Amino acid sequence: MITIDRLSKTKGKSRILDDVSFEARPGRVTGFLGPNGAGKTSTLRVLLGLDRPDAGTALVCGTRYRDLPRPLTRIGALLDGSGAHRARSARAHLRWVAASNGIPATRADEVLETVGLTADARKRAGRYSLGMSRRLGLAAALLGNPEVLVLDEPINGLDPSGIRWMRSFLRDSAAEGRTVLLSSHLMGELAETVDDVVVIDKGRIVTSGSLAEVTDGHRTLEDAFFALTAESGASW
Amino acid sequence: MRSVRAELLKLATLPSLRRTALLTMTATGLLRWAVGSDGPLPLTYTQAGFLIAGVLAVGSEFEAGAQIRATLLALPRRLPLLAAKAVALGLMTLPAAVSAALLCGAGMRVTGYLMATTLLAGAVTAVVRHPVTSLLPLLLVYYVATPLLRKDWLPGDPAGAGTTAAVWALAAAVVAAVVFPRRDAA
Repeated sequence: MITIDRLSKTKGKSRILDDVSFEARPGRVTGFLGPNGAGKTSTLRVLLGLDRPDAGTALVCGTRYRDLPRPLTRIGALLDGSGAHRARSARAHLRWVAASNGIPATRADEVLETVGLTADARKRAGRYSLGMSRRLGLAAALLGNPEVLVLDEPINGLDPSGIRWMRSFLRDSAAEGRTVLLSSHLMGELAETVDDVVVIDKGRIVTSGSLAEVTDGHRTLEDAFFALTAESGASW
Repeated sequence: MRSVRAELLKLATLPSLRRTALLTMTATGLLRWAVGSDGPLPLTYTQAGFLIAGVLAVGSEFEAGAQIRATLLALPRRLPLLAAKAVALGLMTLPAAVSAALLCGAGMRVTGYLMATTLLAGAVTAVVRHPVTSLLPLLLVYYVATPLLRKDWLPGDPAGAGTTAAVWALAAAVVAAVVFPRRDAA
């Protein structure tokens, strides 16, 4: 369960988050959609304790991220880049991450297997392709077998088979009862994957609800999205 | 302590740190042989290795790939994280500092001085968040200001009072402890 409540944040002179509130519920995939620069990543960074909001709260299972004693066992996050130092092997990276949260070192090999990186486990992260880096990032997110998953643009940098794999991974995770929150600016790619939709534009939540509610009266999720964000001008 | 263990694992699997230690020891040994007598003189030159080790240990978090995000996701409480980093860096530096001091026939005071120098470099990098930008002022203080001005309050003399470097390290650590928890992650 993720509860975002009235988050606001100003960077320099621009208000990047303006009274952002929404929820992501267990057993469902929630798509956090919006154009580039709309505030998706900023919201997720506040949720994950990386950035501080000026106002509002973001809670994971009712607790602020910073107050979770072993956060990786409750929530796993995939941000852009793997988070691994380029000189370290994938396995060495996952081992220190596991050690930091009291997760057994054997989990490193298990999650490498899950994301299909077993053969490249000893390779330095700096030699990984973009797609492999994303998979390593996902492996780190899965280390603690968390009940909540937060993924920032999870299909970016993936090839078609990777996208297919990610879709079924997300569906399976929700089917296991996990809370899955993913951000994306690609509406068409995700319409068949998400249960709930939250649309953000220029730091404000434009609409939220089930996929059926949000697309009601529009041909596709993409059409709905452009209709909802059109009044504030095209994003390119 | 899970956090200290994680930080130790991180430092132990950083190849640049191993290379720095090896180079520093070799250079110190060669200089000691060239000087021909015991004393901290060789370290006046090779202490740069300890500065670099401190910068690398913390600066590696902020290089491309943004390891700092993985670090903060794993250990979101920032003050305990800084403390764990400092303890791990201290533990990793201890054998190198003892060996360097022994190589020169210098004692415990010089060991402490080298430890303080490494921790000072680490703390400065935690504030500056960029390896090159933090190494430059450190080198200026150690290699230009200290020998030119010859003031007791400057930290860069291995033969001077060991407490000066320790006071500098402590001051930098206090600044890091104030600044680091308040900032958005890089």
